Amino acid sequence: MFRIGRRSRIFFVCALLIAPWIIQVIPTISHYLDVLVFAGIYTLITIGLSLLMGYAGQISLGHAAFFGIGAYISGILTVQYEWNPWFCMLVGVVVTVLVAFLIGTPALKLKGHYLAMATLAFGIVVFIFFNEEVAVTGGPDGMGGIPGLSIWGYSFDTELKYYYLVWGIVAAVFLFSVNLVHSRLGRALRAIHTSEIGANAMGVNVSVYKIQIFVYSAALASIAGSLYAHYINFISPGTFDLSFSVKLLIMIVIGGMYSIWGAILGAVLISFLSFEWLEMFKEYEILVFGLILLFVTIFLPDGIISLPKKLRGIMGKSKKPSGQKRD
Amino acid sequence: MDNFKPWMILRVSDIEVIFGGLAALNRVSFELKPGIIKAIIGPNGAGKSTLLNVITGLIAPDWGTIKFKGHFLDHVPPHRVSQFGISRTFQHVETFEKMTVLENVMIGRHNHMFTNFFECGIKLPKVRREETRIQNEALELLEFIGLQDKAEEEASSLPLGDQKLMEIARGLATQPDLICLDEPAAGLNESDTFRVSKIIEQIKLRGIAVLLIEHDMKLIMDISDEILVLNHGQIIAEGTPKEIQSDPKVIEAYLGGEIANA
Repeated sequence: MFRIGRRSRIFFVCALLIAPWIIQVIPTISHYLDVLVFAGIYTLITIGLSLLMGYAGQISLGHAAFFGIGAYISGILTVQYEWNPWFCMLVGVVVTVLVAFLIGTPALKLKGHYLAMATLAFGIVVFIFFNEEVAVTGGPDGMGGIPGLSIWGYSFDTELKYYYLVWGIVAAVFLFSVNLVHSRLGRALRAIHTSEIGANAMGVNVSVYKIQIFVYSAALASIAGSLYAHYINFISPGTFDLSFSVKLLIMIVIGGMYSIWGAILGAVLISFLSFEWLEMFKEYEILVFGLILLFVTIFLPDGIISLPKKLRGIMGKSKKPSGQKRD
Repeated sequence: MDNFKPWMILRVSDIEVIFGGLAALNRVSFELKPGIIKAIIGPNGAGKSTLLNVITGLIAPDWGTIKFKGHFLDHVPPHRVSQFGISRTFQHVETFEKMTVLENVMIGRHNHMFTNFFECGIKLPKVRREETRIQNEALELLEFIGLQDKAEEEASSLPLGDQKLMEIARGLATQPDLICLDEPAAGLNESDTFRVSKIIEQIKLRGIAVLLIEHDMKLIMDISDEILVLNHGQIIAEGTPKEIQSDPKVIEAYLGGEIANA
Protein backbone atom coordinates (compact mmCIF):
# COMPACT_ATOMS: atom_id res chain seq x y z
CA MET A 1 0.00 0.00 0.00
CA PHE A 2 1.01 3.56 -0.42
CA ARG A 3 2.24 5.23 2.70
CA ILE A 4 0.90 8.71 2.98
CA GLY A 5 3.58 11.22 3.80
CA ARG A 6 3.15 14.26 5.97
CA ARG A 7 4.42 16.48 3.17
CA SER A 8 1.78 15.42 0.67
CA ARG A 9 -0.90 15.93 3.33
CA ILE A 10 0.19 19.51 3.99
CA PHE A 11 0.39 20.16 0.26
CA PHE A 12 -3.10 18.74 -0.17
CA VAL A 13 -4.58 20.95 2.56
CA CYS A 14 -2.90 24.07 1.13
CA ALA A 15 -4.14 23.24 -2.35
CA LEU A 16 -7.66 22.81 -0.98
CA LEU A 17 -7.57 26.15 0.81
CA ILE A 18 -6.11 28.10 -2.08
CA ALA A 19 -7.89 26.47 -5.02
CA PRO A 20 -11.16 28.47 -4.82
CA TRP A 21 -9.30 31.81 -4.78
CA ILE A 22 -7.35 30.95 -7.88
CA ILE A 23 -10.46 29.64 -9.57
CA GLN A 24 -12.45 32.76 -8.79
CA VAL A 25 -9.80 35.07 -10.18
CA ILE A 26 -9.85 33.43 -13.61
CA PRO A 27 -13.26 34.18 -15.16
CA THR A 28 -13.26 31.33 -17.70
CA ILE A 29 -13.04 28.69 -14.99
CA SER A 30 -14.91 30.44 -12.19
CA HIS A 31 -17.69 27.86 -12.38
CA TYR A 32 -15.16 25.14 -11.50
CA LEU A 33 -15.92 25.84 -7.87
CA ASP A 34 -19.34 24.30 -8.40
CA VAL A 35 -17.71 21.21 -9.93
CA LEU A 36 -15.34 20.97 -6.99
CA VAL A 37 -18.27 20.92 -4.54
CA PHE A 38 -19.72 17.94 -6.39
CA ALA A 39 -16.28 16.36 -6.53
CA GLY A 40 -16.05 16.71 -2.74
CA ILE A 41 -19.43 15.05 -2.31
CA TYR A 42 -18.39 12.17 -4.57
CA THR A 43 -15.06 11.90 -2.78
CA LEU A 44 -16.90 11.10 0.44
CA ILE A 45 -18.41 8.07 -1.27
CA THR A 46 -15.29 6.95 -3.07
CA ILE A 47 -13.20 7.03 0.11
CA GLY A 48 -15.61 4.52 1.62
CA LEU A 49 -15.65 2.47 -1.56
CA SER A 50 -11.88 2.43 -1.64
CA LEU A 51 -11.83 0.85 1.82
CA LEU A 52 -14.54 -1.60 0.83
CA MET A 53 -13.24 -2.58 -2.60
CA GLY A 54 -9.55 -1.71 -2.66
CA TYR A 55 -8.74 -2.85 0.85
CA ALA A 56 -11.32 -5.48 1.77
CA GLY A 57 -11.88 -6.63 -1.83
CA GLN A 58 -15.69 -6.56 -1.72
CA ILE A 59 -17.54 -5.25 -4.77
CA SER A 60 -20.61 -3.07 -4.32
CA LEU A 61 -22.89 -1.86 -7.08
CA GLY A 62 -25.41 -0.49 -4.63
CA HIS A 63 -23.81 2.64 -3.26
CA ALA A 64 -25.97 4.95 -5.36
CA ALA A 65 -28.83 3.62 -3.24
CA PHE A 66 -27.16 4.59 0.04
CA PHE A 67 -26.37 7.98 -1.48
CA GLY A 68 -30.06 8.24 -2.41
CA ILE A 69 -31.33 7.15 0.99
CA GLY A 70 -29.30 9.92 2.62
CA ALA A 71 -30.51 12.49 0.12
CA TYR A 72 -34.18 11.50 0.33
CA ILE A 73 -34.29 11.29 4.10
CA SER A 74 -32.78 14.76 4.31
CA GLY A 75 -35.18 15.98 1.63
CA ILE A 76 -38.35 14.45 3.04
CA LEU A 77 -37.73 15.31 6.68
CA THR A 78 -36.71 18.91 6.00
CA VAL A 79 -39.40 19.67 3.41
CA GLN A 80 -42.40 17.81 4.80
CA TYR A 81 -41.62 17.85 8.52
CA GLU A 82 -39.31 20.86 8.68
CA TRP A 83 -36.83 19.16 10.94
CA ASN A 84 -33.36 20.54 11.54
CA PRO A 85 -31.20 19.60 8.50
CA TRP A 86 -28.26 18.44 10.63
CA PHE A 87 -30.52 16.21 12.64
CA CYS A 88 -31.98 14.83 9.39
CA MET A 89 -28.48 14.08 8.20
CA LEU A 90 -27.94 12.09 11.37
CA VAL A 91 -31.26 10.27 10.92
CA GLY A 92 -30.16 9.48 7.36
CA VAL A 93 -26.92 7.98 8.61
CA VAL A 94 -28.70 5.90 11.26
CA VAL A 95 -31.23 4.56 8.75
CA THR A 96 -28.51 3.82 6.20
CA VAL A 97 -26.45 2.02 8.81
CA LEU A 98 -29.43 -0.17 9.66
CA VAL A 99 -30.24 -0.86 6.01
CA ALA A 100 -26.60 -1.57 5.19
CA PHE A 101 -26.38 -3.93 8.12
CA LEU A 102 -29.49 -5.82 7.06
CA ILE A 103 -28.40 -6.00 3.41
CA GLY A 104 -24.74 -6.64 4.18
CA THR A 105 -25.15 -9.48 6.64
CA PRO A 106 -26.45 -11.97 4.07
CA ALA A 107 -24.88 -10.35 0.99
CA LEU A 108 -21.31 -10.32 2.28
CA LYS A 109 -21.45 -14.08 2.62
CA LEU A 110 -21.50 -14.08 -1.18
CA LYS A 111 -18.30 -13.75 -3.12
CA GLY A 112 -17.17 -11.89 -6.22
CA HIS A 113 -19.84 -11.61 -8.88
CA TYR A 114 -22.60 -12.77 -6.57
CA LEU A 115 -21.97 -9.96 -4.13
CA ALA A 116 -21.96 -7.50 -7.04
CA MET A 117 -25.29 -8.95 -8.22
CA ALA A 118 -26.86 -8.78 -4.76
CA THR A 119 -25.89 -5.15 -4.23
CA LEU A 120 -26.97 -4.35 -7.79
CA ALA A 121 -30.40 -5.80 -7.08
CA PHE A 122 -30.61 -3.79 -3.87
CA GLY A 123 -29.76 -0.62 -5.80
CA ILE A 124 -32.52 -1.30 -8.31
CA VAL A 125 -35.09 -1.97 -5.58
CA VAL A 126 -34.29 1.33 -3.88
CA PHE A 127 -34.38 3.15 -7.22
CA ILE A 128 -37.86 1.75 -7.92
CA PHE A 129 -38.96 2.82 -4.46
CA PHE A 130 -37.86 6.42 -5.14
CA ASN A 131 -39.78 6.34 -8.42
CA GLU A 132 -43.01 4.71 -7.32
CA GLU A 133 -43.68 6.04 -3.84
CA VAL A 134 -44.94 9.31 -5.26
CA ALA A 135 -46.64 10.40 -2.03
CA VAL A 136 -43.39 10.20 -0.07
CA THR A 137 -40.63 10.88 -2.56
CA GLY A 138 -42.42 12.90 -5.21
CA GLY A 139 -41.83 10.11 -7.70
CA PRO A 140 -40.10 10.73 -11.03
CA ASP A 141 -40.82 14.45 -10.83
CA GLY A 142 -38.49 14.72 -7.92
CA MET A 143 -38.66 16.83 -4.85
CA GLY A 144 -37.78 20.51 -4.60
CA GLY A 145 -37.51 23.22 -2.01
CA ILE A 146 -34.95 21.47 0.15
CA PRO A 147 -33.41 24.16 2.38
CA GLY A 148 -29.72 24.96 2.48
CA LEU A 149 -27.50 24.27 5.46
CA SER A 150 -26.71 26.69 8.21
CA ILE A 151 -25.14 26.44 11.61
CA TRP A 152 -25.84 28.85 14.51
CA GLY A 153 -27.22 31.40 12.12
CA TYR A 154 -24.24 31.12 9.77
CA SER A 155 -25.61 29.95 6.48
CA PHE A 156 -23.63 28.06 3.86
CA ASP A 157 -25.37 29.93 1.09
CA THR A 158 -22.58 30.55 -1.39
CA GLU A 159 -20.60 28.08 -3.42
CA LEU A 160 -17.44 29.11 -1.64
CA LYS A 161 -18.87 28.48 1.82
CA TYR A 162 -20.31 25.15 0.75
CA TYR A 163 -16.99 24.24 -0.82
CA TYR A 164 -15.23 24.68 2.50
CA LEU A 165 -17.96 22.82 4.34
CA VAL A 166 -17.86 19.80 2.02
CA TRP A 167 -14.09 19.60 1.78
CA GLY A 168 -13.78 20.13 5.53
CA ILE A 169 -15.91 17.04 6.03
CA VAL A 170 -13.87 15.22 3.38
CA ALA A 171 -10.68 16.09 5.24
CA ALA A 172 -12.07 14.72 8.51
CA VAL A 173 -13.30 11.55 6.84
CA PHE A 174 -9.99 11.21 5.04
CA LEU A 175 -8.03 11.36 8.30
CA PHE A 176 -10.36 8.92 10.01
CA SER A 177 -10.11 6.50 7.09
CA VAL A 178 -6.34 6.72 6.81
CA ASN A 179 -6.08 5.98 10.51
CA LEU A 180 -8.34 2.98 10.04
CA VAL A 181 -6.24 1.70 7.17
CA HIS A 182 -3.09 1.85 9.25
CA SER A 183 -4.59 0.10 12.23
CA ARG A 184 -5.33 -3.52 13.07
CA LEU A 185 -8.60 -3.08 11.24
CA GLY A 186 -7.01 -2.03 7.95
CA ARG A 187 -4.55 -4.86 8.25
CA ALA A 188 -7.36 -7.34 8.78
CA LEU A 189 -9.22 -5.98 5.75
CA ARG A 190 -6.18 -6.32 3.53
CA ALA A 191 -5.67 -9.87 4.78
CA ILE A 192 -9.28 -10.70 3.97
CA HIS A 193 -8.72 -9.35 0.46
CA THR A 194 -6.24 -12.05 -0.52
CA SER A 195 -7.13 -14.95 1.75
CA GLU A 196 -10.26 -15.24 3.81
CA ILE A 197 -9.20 -18.72 4.92
CA GLY A 198 -5.82 -17.44 6.05
CA ALA A 199 -7.35 -14.51 7.90
CA ASN A 200 -9.86 -16.82 9.54
CA ALA A 201 -7.17 -19.19 10.69
CA MET A 202 -5.33 -16.27 12.29
CA GLY A 203 -8.41 -15.52 14.36
CA VAL A 204 -9.81 -12.67 12.27
CA ASN A 205 -13.59 -12.74 12.31
CA VAL A 206 -13.96 -12.13 8.60
CA SER A 207 -17.68 -11.43 8.41
CA VAL A 208 -17.62 -8.88 11.23
CA TYR A 209 -14.95 -6.80 9.50
CA LYS A 210 -16.59 -7.06 6.11
CA ILE A 211 -19.88 -5.82 7.58
CA GLN A 212 -18.19 -3.06 9.57
CA ILE A 213 -16.51 -1.61 6.51
CA PHE A 214 -19.61 -2.05 4.34
CA VAL A 215 -21.69 -0.17 6.89
CA TYR A 216 -19.02 2.53 7.22
CA SER A 217 -18.88 3.09 3.47
CA ALA A 218 -22.68 3.19 3.32
CA ALA A 219 -22.79 5.79 6.10
CA LEU A 220 -20.33 7.97 4.18
CA ALA A 221 -22.49 7.66 1.07
CA SER A 222 -25.48 8.73 3.13
CA ILE A 223 -23.71 11.85 4.45
CA ALA A 224 -22.73 12.64 0.86
CA GLY A 225 -26.39 12.25 -0.15
CA SER A 226 -27.56 14.71 2.50
CA LEU A 227 -24.89 17.24 1.50
CA TYR A 228 -25.94 16.81 -2.11
CA ALA A 229 -29.63 17.38 -1.35
CA HIS A 230 -28.96 20.54 0.66
CA TYR A 231 -26.62 21.86 -2.01
CA ILE A 232 -28.76 21.61 -5.12
CA ASN A 233 -32.07 21.83 -3.20
CA PHE A 234 -33.77 19.48 -5.62
CA ILE A 235 -33.52 15.70 -5.97
CA SER A 236 -35.01 13.22 -8.39
CA PRO A 237 -34.58 9.45 -8.69
CA GLY A 238 -32.48 9.67 -11.87
CA THR A 239 -29.45 10.78 -9.86
CA PHE A 240 -29.44 7.58 -7.83
CA ASP A 241 -29.75 4.94 -10.53
CA LEU A 242 -27.43 2.11 -11.44
CA SER A 243 -25.36 4.24 -13.77
CA PHE A 244 -24.27 6.35 -10.81
CA SER A 245 -23.12 3.24 -8.95
CA VAL A 246 -21.13 2.32 -12.02
CA LYS A 247 -19.71 5.82 -12.24
CA LEU A 248 -18.50 5.50 -8.65
CA LEU A 249 -16.71 2.31 -9.59
CA ILE A 250 -15.13 4.04 -12.57
CA MET A 251 -13.92 6.79 -10.24
CA ILE A 252 -12.08 4.48 -7.90
CA VAL A 253 -10.74 2.22 -10.64
CA ILE A 254 -9.36 5.18 -12.59
CA GLY A 255 -8.03 6.95 -9.53
CA GLY A 256 -6.61 3.80 -8.00
CA MET A 257 -8.60 1.76 -5.54
CA TYR A 258 -5.71 0.53 -3.45
CA SER A 259 -5.17 3.98 -2.07
CA ILE A 260 -7.39 6.60 -0.50
CA TRP A 261 -5.52 9.25 -2.47
CA GLY A 262 -6.59 7.39 -5.58
CA ALA A 263 -10.22 7.62 -4.48
CA ILE A 264 -9.92 11.39 -4.15
CA LEU A 265 -8.10 11.78 -7.45
CA GLY A 266 -10.64 9.59 -9.24
CA ALA A 267 -13.64 11.47 -7.87
CA VAL A 268 -12.20 14.88 -8.77
CA LEU A 269 -11.05 13.76 -12.20
CA ILE A 270 -14.31 12.09 -13.20
CA SER A 271 -16.31 15.05 -11.89
CA PHE A 272 -14.41 17.40 -14.16
CA LEU A 273 -14.57 14.99 -17.07
CA SER A 274 -18.32 14.47 -16.84
CA PHE A 275 -19.32 18.04 -15.94
CA GLU A 276 -16.84 19.93 -18.09
CA TRP A 277 -14.25 18.39 -20.30
CA LEU A 278 -16.36 15.76 -22.01
CA GLU A 279 -19.39 18.00 -22.56
CA MET A 280 -18.60 18.28 -26.25
CA PHE A 281 -18.99 14.54 -26.78
CA LYS A 282 -22.64 14.73 -25.68
CA GLU A 283 -24.20 11.26 -25.78
CA TYR A 284 -20.88 9.72 -26.82
CA GLU A 285 -19.48 10.69 -23.44
CA ILE A 286 -19.93 7.15 -22.15
CA LEU A 287 -17.74 5.88 -25.01
CA VAL A 288 -14.92 8.17 -23.98
CA PHE A 289 -15.28 6.98 -20.41
CA GLY A 290 -15.06 3.43 -21.69
CA LEU A 291 -11.86 4.22 -23.53
CA ILE A 292 -10.30 5.88 -20.49
CA LEU A 293 -11.28 2.95 -18.33
CA LEU A 294 -9.83 0.53 -20.85
CA PHE A 295 -6.59 2.46 -21.04
CA VAL A 296 -6.21 2.70 -17.28
CA THR A 297 -7.01 -0.94 -16.53
CA ILE A 298 -4.56 -2.13 -19.18
CA PHE A 299 -1.65 0.21 -18.55
CA LEU A 300 -2.20 1.34 -14.97
CA PRO A 301 -4.06 -1.40 -13.14
CA ASP A 302 -3.39 0.37 -9.84
CA GLY A 303 -4.95 3.57 -11.17
CA ILE A 304 -3.58 6.96 -12.14
CA ILE A 305 -2.29 7.49 -8.62
CA SER A 306 0.34 4.83 -9.35
CA LEU A 307 1.63 6.72 -12.41
CA PRO A 308 4.59 8.45 -10.67
CA LYS A 309 5.69 5.19 -9.09
CA LYS A 310 5.38 3.42 -12.42
CA LEU A 311 7.35 6.13 -14.23
CA ARG A 312 10.07 5.89 -11.62
CA GLY A 313 10.06 2.14 -12.16
CA ILE A 314 10.50 2.54 -15.91
CA MET A 315 13.29 5.10 -15.46
CA GLY A 316 15.02 2.88 -12.93
CA LYS A 317 14.81 -0.13 -15.20
CA SER A 318 16.30 1.65 -18.20
CA LYS A 319 19.35 2.53 -16.13
CA LYS A 320 20.10 -1.12 -15.48
CA PRO A 321 22.60 -2.72 -17.82
CA SER A 322 20.87 -4.41 -20.72
CA GLY A 323 21.16 -8.11 -21.35
CA GLN A 324 20.26 -8.90 -17.78
CA LYS A 325 18.25 -12.03 -17.33
CA ARG A 326 14.63 -11.27 -16.59
CA ASP A 327 12.51 -13.48 -14.46
CA MET B 1 -18.10 -42.54 28.22
CA ASP B 2 -16.04 -39.42 28.39
CA ASN B 3 -12.72 -40.58 29.73
CA PHE B 4 -10.87 -37.40 28.88
CA LYS B 5 -7.46 -37.62 30.39
CA PRO B 6 -6.58 -34.24 31.82
CA TRP B 7 -3.03 -34.36 30.57
CA MET B 8 -4.15 -34.68 26.97
CA ILE B 9 -4.36 -31.34 25.22
CA LEU B 10 -6.36 -32.60 22.25
CA ARG B 11 -8.69 -35.48 21.90
CA VAL B 12 -10.21 -36.38 18.56
CA SER B 13 -12.99 -38.96 18.80
CA ASP B 14 -14.73 -40.87 16.04
CA ILE B 15 -14.38 -38.16 13.43
CA GLU B 16 -16.17 -38.89 10.20
CA VAL B 17 -16.18 -36.64 7.16
CA ILE B 18 -18.07 -37.69 4.07
CA PHE B 19 -17.46 -36.04 0.70
CA GLY B 20 -20.05 -37.01 -1.91
CA GLY B 21 -20.80 -40.39 -0.37
CA LEU B 22 -17.13 -41.17 0.12
CA ALA B 23 -15.70 -41.25 3.61
CA ALA B 24 -12.68 -38.96 3.63
CA LEU B 25 -12.23 -39.67 7.31
CA ASN B 26 -13.61 -42.81 8.87
CA ARG B 27 -13.89 -43.04 12.66
CA VAL B 28 -10.61 -41.30 13.33
CA SER B 29 -9.69 -41.05 17.01
CA PHE B 30 -6.45 -40.05 18.63
CA GLU B 31 -5.04 -38.04 21.49
CA LEU B 32 -2.25 -35.55 21.77
CA LYS B 33 -0.10 -34.82 24.78
CA PRO B 34 0.90 -31.19 25.29
CA GLY B 35 4.31 -30.14 24.03
CA ILE B 36 5.08 -33.04 21.76
CA ILE B 37 5.47 -33.39 18.02
CA LYS B 38 3.03 -35.76 16.45
CA ALA B 39 3.34 -36.47 12.76
CA ILE B 40 0.47 -37.55 10.54
CA ILE B 41 1.65 -39.49 7.54
CA GLY B 42 -0.01 -41.44 4.79
CA PRO B 43 -0.26 -41.59 1.03
CA ASN B 44 -1.86 -38.79 -0.99
CA GLY B 45 -5.59 -38.67 -0.47
CA ALA B 46 -5.40 -40.47 2.86
CA GLY B 47 -7.28 -37.61 4.55
CA LYS B 48 -4.42 -35.89 6.35
CA SER B 49 -5.26 -32.35 5.30
CA THR B 50 -8.95 -33.01 5.84
CA LEU B 51 -8.15 -34.02 9.40
CA LEU B 52 -6.29 -30.75 9.99
CA ASN B 53 -9.15 -28.81 8.43
CA VAL B 54 -11.58 -30.49 10.80
CA ILE B 55 -9.42 -29.74 13.83
CA THR B 56 -9.01 -26.07 12.83
CA GLY B 57 -12.70 -25.64 12.09
CA LEU B 58 -12.57 -25.20 8.31
CA ILE B 59 -14.61 -28.36 7.81
CA ALA B 60 -17.41 -29.40 10.14
CA PRO B 61 -17.27 -33.15 10.79
CA ASP B 62 -20.33 -35.25 9.93
CA TRP B 63 -19.78 -37.24 13.07
CA GLY B 64 -17.54 -37.21 16.09
CA THR B 65 -16.14 -34.69 18.53
CA ILE B 66 -12.98 -32.70 19.04
CA LYS B 67 -12.04 -31.68 22.53
CA PHE B 68 -9.25 -29.19 23.09
CA LYS B 69 -8.22 -28.10 26.58
CA GLY B 70 -11.66 -29.14 27.80
CA HIS B 71 -13.65 -27.30 25.10
CA PHE B 72 -15.61 -29.03 22.39
CA LEU B 73 -14.38 -27.57 19.10
CA ASP B 74 -16.44 -29.36 16.48
CA HIS B 75 -18.73 -26.87 14.72
CA VAL B 76 -16.82 -23.90 16.12
CA PRO B 77 -15.90 -21.40 13.35
CA PRO B 78 -12.19 -21.21 12.50
CA HIS B 79 -11.54 -17.76 13.96
CA ARG B 80 -12.87 -18.99 17.31
CA VAL B 81 -10.74 -22.13 17.11
CA SER B 82 -7.74 -19.84 16.75
CA GLN B 83 -8.78 -17.97 19.87
CA PHE B 84 -8.94 -21.25 21.79
CA GLY B 85 -5.26 -21.74 21.02
CA ILE B 86 -4.96 -23.78 17.83
CA SER B 87 -3.01 -22.25 15.00
CA ARG B 88 -1.97 -23.55 11.62
CA THR B 89 -0.08 -23.14 8.37
CA PHE B 90 -1.27 -24.17 4.95
CA GLN B 91 -0.10 -26.71 2.43
CA HIS B 92 -0.38 -24.07 -0.29
CA VAL B 93 0.83 -20.92 1.41
CA GLU B 94 -1.89 -18.40 2.17
CA THR B 95 0.35 -15.35 2.12
CA PHE B 96 -1.46 -12.04 2.41
CA GLU B 97 -0.46 -10.17 -0.72
CA LYS B 98 0.41 -6.47 -0.91
CA MET B 99 1.49 -6.67 2.70
CA THR B 100 4.97 -6.81 4.17
CA VAL B 101 6.33 -9.85 5.95
CA LEU B 102 6.03 -7.98 9.23
CA GLU B 103 2.39 -7.08 8.57
CA ASN B 104 1.64 -10.68 7.70
CA VAL B 105 2.97 -11.79 11.08
CA MET B 106 1.15 -8.94 12.82
CA ILE B 107 -2.14 -10.34 11.52
CA GLY B 108 -1.44 -13.32 13.74
CA ARG B 109 -1.53 -11.00 16.76
CA HIS B 110 -4.91 -9.62 15.72
CA ASN B 111 -6.69 -11.05 18.72
CA HIS B 112 -4.08 -9.73 21.10
CA MET B 113 -5.14 -6.21 20.19
CA PHE B 114 -8.21 -4.68 21.69
CA THR B 115 -8.82 -1.30 20.10
CA ASN B 116 -12.14 -0.93 18.30
CA PHE B 117 -13.30 0.74 15.10
CA PHE B 118 -13.67 4.27 16.48
CA GLU B 119 -10.54 4.18 18.58
CA CYS B 120 -8.61 3.18 15.47
CA GLY B 121 -10.28 5.88 13.39
CA ILE B 122 -9.42 8.74 15.69
CA LYS B 123 -6.07 7.17 16.53
CA LEU B 124 -6.09 7.39 20.29
CA PRO B 125 -2.65 7.24 21.88
CA LYS B 126 -3.35 3.71 23.04
CA VAL B 127 -3.78 2.62 19.41
CA ARG B 128 -0.26 3.74 18.66
CA ARG B 129 1.08 2.10 21.83
CA GLU B 130 -0.63 -1.15 20.97
CA GLU B 131 0.66 -0.99 17.40
CA THR B 132 4.25 -0.58 18.60
CA ARG B 133 3.85 -3.43 21.07
CA ILE B 134 2.49 -5.80 18.41
CA GLN B 135 5.16 -4.71 15.97
CA ASN B 136 7.89 -5.60 18.45
CA GLU B 137 6.33 -8.94 19.24
CA ALA B 138 6.05 -9.74 15.54
CA LEU B 139 9.69 -8.72 15.04
CA GLU B 140 10.73 -11.04 17.83
CA LEU B 141 8.99 -13.91 16.10
CA LEU B 142 10.65 -13.03 12.80
CA GLU B 143 13.96 -13.10 14.58
CA PHE B 144 13.12 -16.51 16.00
CA ILE B 145 12.36 -17.76 12.52
CA GLY B 146 15.34 -15.98 10.98
CA LEU B 147 13.51 -13.58 8.70
CA GLN B 148 14.15 -10.33 10.57
CA ASP B 149 16.10 -8.88 7.64
CA LYS B 150 13.15 -9.32 5.33
CA ALA B 151 10.55 -7.77 7.63
CA GLU B 152 9.84 -4.84 5.34
CA GLU B 153 9.79 -6.79 2.09
CA GLU B 154 6.57 -7.58 0.34
CA ALA B 155 5.61 -11.04 1.54
CA SER B 156 4.43 -12.47 -1.76
CA SER B 157 7.76 -11.63 -3.38
CA LEU B 158 9.70 -13.92 -1.02
CA PRO B 159 10.87 -17.34 -2.18
CA LEU B 160 8.54 -20.18 -1.25
CA GLY B 161 10.78 -21.41 1.56
CA ASP B 162 10.73 -18.04 3.28
CA GLN B 163 6.97 -17.73 2.81
CA LYS B 164 6.53 -21.08 4.51
CA LEU B 165 8.71 -19.96 7.40
CA MET B 166 6.78 -16.70 7.58
CA GLU B 167 3.56 -18.70 7.86
CA ILE B 168 5.00 -20.53 10.84
CA ALA B 169 5.89 -17.20 12.47
CA ARG B 170 2.40 -15.94 11.72
CA GLY B 171 0.90 -19.08 13.21
CA LEU B 172 3.01 -18.71 16.35
CA ALA B 173 1.94 -15.09 16.65
CA THR B 174 -1.54 -16.19 17.73
CA GLN B 175 0.17 -17.68 20.81
CA PRO B 176 -1.16 -21.18 20.35
CA ASP B 177 -0.88 -24.27 22.52
CA LEU B 178 -1.08 -26.38 19.40
CA ILE B 179 0.15 -25.55 15.93
CA CYS B 180 -0.79 -27.62 12.91
CA LEU B 181 1.81 -27.57 10.16
CA ASP B 182 0.55 -28.79 6.81
CA GLU B 183 3.57 -29.91 4.79
CA PRO B 184 5.95 -27.18 5.98
CA ALA B 185 8.82 -28.65 3.98
CA ALA B 186 7.01 -29.40 0.71
CA GLY B 187 8.83 -27.86 -2.23
CA LEU B 188 11.81 -26.81 -0.14
CA ASN B 189 15.43 -27.60 -0.81
CA GLU B 190 17.59 -29.49 1.64
CA SER B 191 18.96 -26.54 3.57
CA ASP B 192 15.52 -24.95 3.93
CA THR B 193 14.12 -28.27 5.10
CA PHE B 194 16.84 -28.42 7.71
CA ARG B 195 15.92 -24.92 8.86
CA VAL B 196 12.30 -25.95 9.15
CA SER B 197 13.14 -29.04 11.19
CA LYS B 198 15.26 -27.00 13.61
CA ILE B 199 12.45 -24.50 14.00
CA ILE B 200 9.87 -27.20 14.69
CA GLU B 201 12.11 -28.61 17.41
CA GLN B 202 12.39 -25.15 18.96
CA ILE B 203 8.63 -24.73 18.84
CA LYS B 204 8.39 -27.89 20.89
CA LEU B 205 10.89 -26.47 23.37
CA ARG B 206 8.55 -23.53 23.83
CA GLY B 207 5.97 -25.99 25.11
CA ILE B 208 3.76 -25.86 22.05
CA ALA B 209 2.36 -29.11 20.71
CA VAL B 210 2.86 -29.69 17.00
CA LEU B 211 0.70 -31.68 14.61
CA LEU B 212 2.82 -32.19 11.55
CA ILE B 213 1.84 -33.41 8.11
CA GLU B 214 4.87 -34.15 5.97
CA HIS B 215 6.06 -36.38 3.18
CA ASP B 216 9.74 -36.00 3.98
CA MET B 217 10.34 -39.22 5.91
CA LYS B 218 13.77 -38.26 7.14
CA LEU B 219 12.40 -35.09 8.70
CA ILE B 220 9.55 -37.01 10.31
CA MET B 221 11.67 -39.78 11.74
CA ASP B 222 14.20 -37.26 13.04
CA ILE B 223 11.96 -34.95 14.97
CA SER B 224 8.60 -36.51 15.78
CA ASP B 225 7.76 -38.10 19.09
CA GLU B 226 4.73 -39.94 17.81
CA ILE B 227 3.47 -40.87 14.40
CA LEU B 228 -0.05 -41.51 13.19
CA VAL B 229 -0.51 -43.32 9.89
CA LEU B 230 -3.62 -42.69 7.87
CA ASN B 231 -4.74 -44.66 4.85
CA HIS B 232 -8.05 -44.28 3.06
CA GLY B 233 -9.35 -42.12 5.88
CA GLN B 234 -8.58 -44.64 8.59
CA ILE B 235 -5.84 -44.88 11.17
CA ILE B 236 -3.80 -47.96 10.42
CA ALA B 237 -1.03 -47.46 12.92
CA GLU B 238 0.07 -45.21 15.75
CA GLY B 239 3.28 -45.18 17.74
CA THR B 240 6.83 -43.97 18.07
CA PRO B 241 8.96 -43.61 14.91
CA LYS B 242 10.68 -46.89 15.74
CA GLU B 243 7.42 -48.78 16.09
CA ILE B 244 6.07 -47.29 12.86
CA GLN B 245 9.21 -48.15 10.92
CA SER B 246 8.88 -51.79 11.83
CA ASP B 247 5.10 -52.03 11.55
CA PRO B 248 4.36 -54.48 8.73
CA LYS B 249 0.96 -52.91 8.08
CA VAL B 250 2.53 -49.54 7.41
CA ILE B 251 5.23 -50.95 5.21
CA GLU B 252 2.70 -52.88 3.23
CA ALA B 253 0.16 -50.08 2.97
CA TYR B 254 2.37 -47.40 1.71
CA LEU B 255 5.97 -46.84 2.31
CA GLY B 256 7.70 -49.97 1.30
CA GLY B 257 11.43 -49.57 1.43
CA GLU B 258 11.35 -45.85 1.95
CA ILE B 259 10.47 -45.90 5.63
CA ALA B 260 12.91 -48.64 6.48
CA ASN B 261 15.74 -46.74 4.86
CA ALA B 262 15.10 -43.49 6.65
